[in-house]
Amino acid sequence: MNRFSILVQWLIACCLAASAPLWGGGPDPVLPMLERMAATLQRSNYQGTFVYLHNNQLEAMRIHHVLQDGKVEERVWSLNGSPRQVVGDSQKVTCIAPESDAKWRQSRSEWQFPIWMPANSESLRPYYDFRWLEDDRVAGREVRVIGITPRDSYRYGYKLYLDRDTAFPLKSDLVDERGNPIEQIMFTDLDLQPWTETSGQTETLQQPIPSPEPNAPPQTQLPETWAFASLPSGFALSARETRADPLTNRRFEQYVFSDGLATLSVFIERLAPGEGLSGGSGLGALNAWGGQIDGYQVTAVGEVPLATVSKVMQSATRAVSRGTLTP
Amino acid sequence: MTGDYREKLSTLMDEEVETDEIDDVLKHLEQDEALRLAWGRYHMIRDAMRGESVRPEYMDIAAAVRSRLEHEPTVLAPRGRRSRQPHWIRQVGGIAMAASLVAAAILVIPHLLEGPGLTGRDLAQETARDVRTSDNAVVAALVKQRQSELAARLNLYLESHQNYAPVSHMQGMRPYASLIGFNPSH
Repeated sequence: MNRFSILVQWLIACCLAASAPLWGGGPDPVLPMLERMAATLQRSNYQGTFVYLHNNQLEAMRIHHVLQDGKVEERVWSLNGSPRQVVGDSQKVTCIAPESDAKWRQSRSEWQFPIWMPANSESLRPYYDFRWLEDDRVAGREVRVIGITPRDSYRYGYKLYLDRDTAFPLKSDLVDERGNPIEQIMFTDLDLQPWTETSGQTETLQQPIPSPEPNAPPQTQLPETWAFASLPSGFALSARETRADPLTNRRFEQYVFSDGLATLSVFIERLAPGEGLSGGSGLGALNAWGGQIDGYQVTAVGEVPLATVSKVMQSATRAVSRGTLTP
Repeated sequence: MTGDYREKLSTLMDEEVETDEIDDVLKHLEQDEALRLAWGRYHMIRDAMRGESVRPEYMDIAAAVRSRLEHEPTVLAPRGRRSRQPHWIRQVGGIAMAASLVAAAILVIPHLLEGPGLTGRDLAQETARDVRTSDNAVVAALVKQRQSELAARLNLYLESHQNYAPVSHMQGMRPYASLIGFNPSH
C-alpha cells in the first residue's frame, strides 16, 4: 500500500468520524438525553423556582409538579407582581388572574394532543439540527447543552441545559434564527425526586396515545370547514375543536398545527371587521397574525416567528364541503 | 356628511384626492373643528401603523391647518388618482378599525411602536388626552371598548392555544410561564 492510499484511507476515516450522527448511533448521541429529559419532566416529582425572561421583563415563578397514582398535577404561580397562577392536570387547566378578577377554567381537549417523544421524532430531522454544545453549569449543577437549530425561518430554535445526572432542563432558551435568545427560563433552585426505571411511575406514558384523526368531527361544528393551503413544511394538523368563550359563550373554532416541536393555533369566528386583530403583533416568542376572510376573523397564534403565523393565517380558505382539513 | 369628508381627508393625506375636490375638502377642513382634529389623529395613526415614531405636533395640527389655510388657500398638486381609498385606509377599512389596530398594537406590540419619539404607551396616553380634550368622546369610548375586547379575545386565544402546548414535553414549563407572563395590561 503506497503512501497515497494510506493518506486517502486516513482522510476517509476522518470524514466518517466527523460525520457520525449525533442523533443516534454515535458514541454520545443526543437522542437518549432528550428521552431522559422527557421522562424526567413527566414522571418525576419536583418543585422549584425559576426565572422567566422575556421582552426585557424578568419574572420569578414557582412550580410544583406532583405525580400521584399515575396522574400529573402541576401548579405554576408568579412570585412577583400580581399573583397569577396556572393549575393543570390531565383533565383541565385553570388560570387565575386576580387583576382581572377572572378565574378561567378550560377542559383539556378530549382529542389529546400527541405527546412529543424523542423515540418517534425522527420526523423532526428535516426541520431541525440537533447537536451538543459546550458543557456549562446552572443552579450549581453541571449541565450538558443541546442546541436545536431550525433549518428554515418558520420556527424557533432551542438551547437546552440539561442536568448531567437527571437530564432535567435547568435552563432553556428559545432562540431566533440568528441564535439570539427570545425567551429564557432558568431554575435557581430545584428539589427533584428523579424518576428511575424501577420506580414504577410509568402508567401515564404506557397508556396508548390516541392518534389524531383528521376527519373526526368535533362535538359541535361550525357550518364551514377550513383548509390551509400553504403550511410551512413539516407543520400538520394536530387537533381541531370548537370552543366557547366561558364568559360570553361565543363559539369559535380552533385548529392546532405542529411540526412536532413548535405549535401554533388558528382561531376562526364570526366577527365584524375591526373587532379582531388585523395584521401582526407579538410579545416575546409569541406572535399573532389576524385578518378577515369571507366575513370571518381568522387569527393565528403561536410561539413561532411572525412569518409563520402570517403565512398560515393568510393561507386559510373556507372549504366547500366538510371534512377537508388539510390540503 | 362628516364621514364622507373624513374619507376625502384620508385621500387628501395620501395626495390622491381629485383636483376638483381639493377646494371643497379644504373649505370643510377650515370650517369643521372635528375634521381638523381627525386630520391630526389620522397622521398619528398612519405613523403608528408604519412603525414610525409619532410626532407630538400632530396634537396641534388642527390649529396649524387653520393657520395654513388662512395664508395658503390652495397648495397641493396631487398625483394621478390610483384608487378610491388610500393605502392605509384600505388596509384597515376605516378609522374605527385603525383605532382598534392601534389599540392592539399598544396592548400587544409595544416594541413595534417604540422608537426615538413617542412609545406605544405614550401614544396611548397622548391619544387619550387628545380625544378627551376634543368633542369626540364617542371615539374615546369606542377605542377603550375595542382595546378591552381585543385584549380579552387575544387572552382567550392564548389560553386556548396553551391548553395544547404543556403536553408536548419538550417545552417543559415554558407554556405555563408564557401564560402567566403574558399580561395585556403590561
